[in-house]
Amino acid sequence: MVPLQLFGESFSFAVKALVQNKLRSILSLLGITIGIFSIIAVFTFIDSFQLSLQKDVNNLGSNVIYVEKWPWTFGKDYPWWKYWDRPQPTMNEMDFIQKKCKSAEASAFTFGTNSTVEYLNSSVDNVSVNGISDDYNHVVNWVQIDKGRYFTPNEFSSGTNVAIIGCDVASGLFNNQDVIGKYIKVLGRKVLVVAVMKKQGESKLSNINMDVSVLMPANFERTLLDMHNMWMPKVLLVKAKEGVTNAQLISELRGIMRSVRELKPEQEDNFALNESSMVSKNFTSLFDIVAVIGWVIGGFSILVGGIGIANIMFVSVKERTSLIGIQKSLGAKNYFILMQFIIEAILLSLIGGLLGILVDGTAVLIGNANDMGLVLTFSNVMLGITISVLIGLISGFIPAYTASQLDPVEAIRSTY
Amino acid sequence: MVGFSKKRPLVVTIFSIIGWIMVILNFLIAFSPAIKKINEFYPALFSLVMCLQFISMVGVWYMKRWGVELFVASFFAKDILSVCMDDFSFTSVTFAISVVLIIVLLFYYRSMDRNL
Repeated sequence: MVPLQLFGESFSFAVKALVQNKLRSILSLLGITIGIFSIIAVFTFIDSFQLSLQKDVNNLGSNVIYVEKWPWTFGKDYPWWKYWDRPQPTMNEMDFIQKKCKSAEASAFTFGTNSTVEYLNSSVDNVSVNGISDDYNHVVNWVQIDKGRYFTPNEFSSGTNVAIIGCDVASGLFNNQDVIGKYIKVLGRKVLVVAVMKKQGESKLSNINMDVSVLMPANFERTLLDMHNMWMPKVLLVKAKEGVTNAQLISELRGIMRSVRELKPEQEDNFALNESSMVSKNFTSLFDIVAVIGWVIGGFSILVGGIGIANIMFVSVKERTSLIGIQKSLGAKNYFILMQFIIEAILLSLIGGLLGILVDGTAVLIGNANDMGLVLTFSNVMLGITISVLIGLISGFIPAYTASQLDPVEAIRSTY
Repeated sequence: MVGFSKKRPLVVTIFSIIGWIMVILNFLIAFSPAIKKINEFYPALFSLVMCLQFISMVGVWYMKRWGVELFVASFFAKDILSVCMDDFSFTSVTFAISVVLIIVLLFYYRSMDRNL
């Protein structure tokens, strides 16, 4: 009970000291507030981005290889003119891969264009209209049906005029009315809506936004588009079997693609084998730099804030020297004086840190109101609080220890 | 005015200053993104150990035995933590400075004050 009582008394002394010097306290904790705000803001931003990146990688499929004409990332001196004449992947190549590739669990083919989609007097512009083959929903994770159903094998093979639409297309055309069973106009043809996808948001890794997309069977859409158009993107997607690494799948796919395109050993590949990690690696290295900059700024703010608190604590000890003398002469132990000043410093720093975290929380709320998807994690809040407490302890220890070692007689005589 | 009786040798003064600089730099490194990548709670634990080292340096500055004892304890705590997090290196500058510091401090340990 006695230690608790002593702690309570030290605490009340500390609070009184802070309340008596409001302006001085506020000014000295500002450095900590800015420092904690900077560090936690950077960590929050990076954690949120990594979560979002992970979600995007999962959607793109961490074990999916994209066979395309162009690579997703280029080196410094990439020979773009070599890629220019490359042929686009075809559905026949997909059939060949399905027959030959032992590492593949499923494969799909997709191609598309951007167009305006209409229903009566409503229209949505710049919608991504994609033709897909039947295993598409097994290869990628972004075909998430909210209402309705996926295409039947018969609709795929016969090329029926059916469509699955994104939620933003649905709300733009039908304004929250019943969508399923209605005919919309896509690429000049009437198409029956069989499903609406769940809201997913825009991908940070790619330009895919399923909310403003329309999916149709490839055999139907190929009748509406010029398949020889070199500007139309065509992608072959291959998903690895469980236990097969991307490197193994890429190695097998390279052999199959070279064989199907009849490339001689001395000829270079005329296709690109892309995977989601290629893009996420670039983002990660960029955000590592942002994190270091944020940490340096935050670290120095905290350092300056800590020095400010130490300074204020020295002033506080000087001001209360005679009081310390009286307390000691009345029987106050050294550790009681030590605790009194340490608590004051920790309290000052903690208030600064909590204010910083509060500002971070407000920024996260404002960011999320604008669909930024920020997450202030519990570990980041705890880190902010820990840093504040420890900075307070470090800043306040020397003044507190000096105060605790004062000689009572000399301290009472002090005339500050 | 202040009741510190033991005279501090020049070597201890120099090593205390080196120790303080090392601790403050390490304290700042504790919140770096690289440390946070190792483990979510590593920065908090690492900075706590650094805080103890800082306090121990105050003790050493005032020629108190508890300063040396706390420094040795926090040195082992830090290294155990680093080993647990797979972040330990015998060749690190911090490790080398800490070992030299401990040797110097133990040399002067007997001449230090027993009281708190």
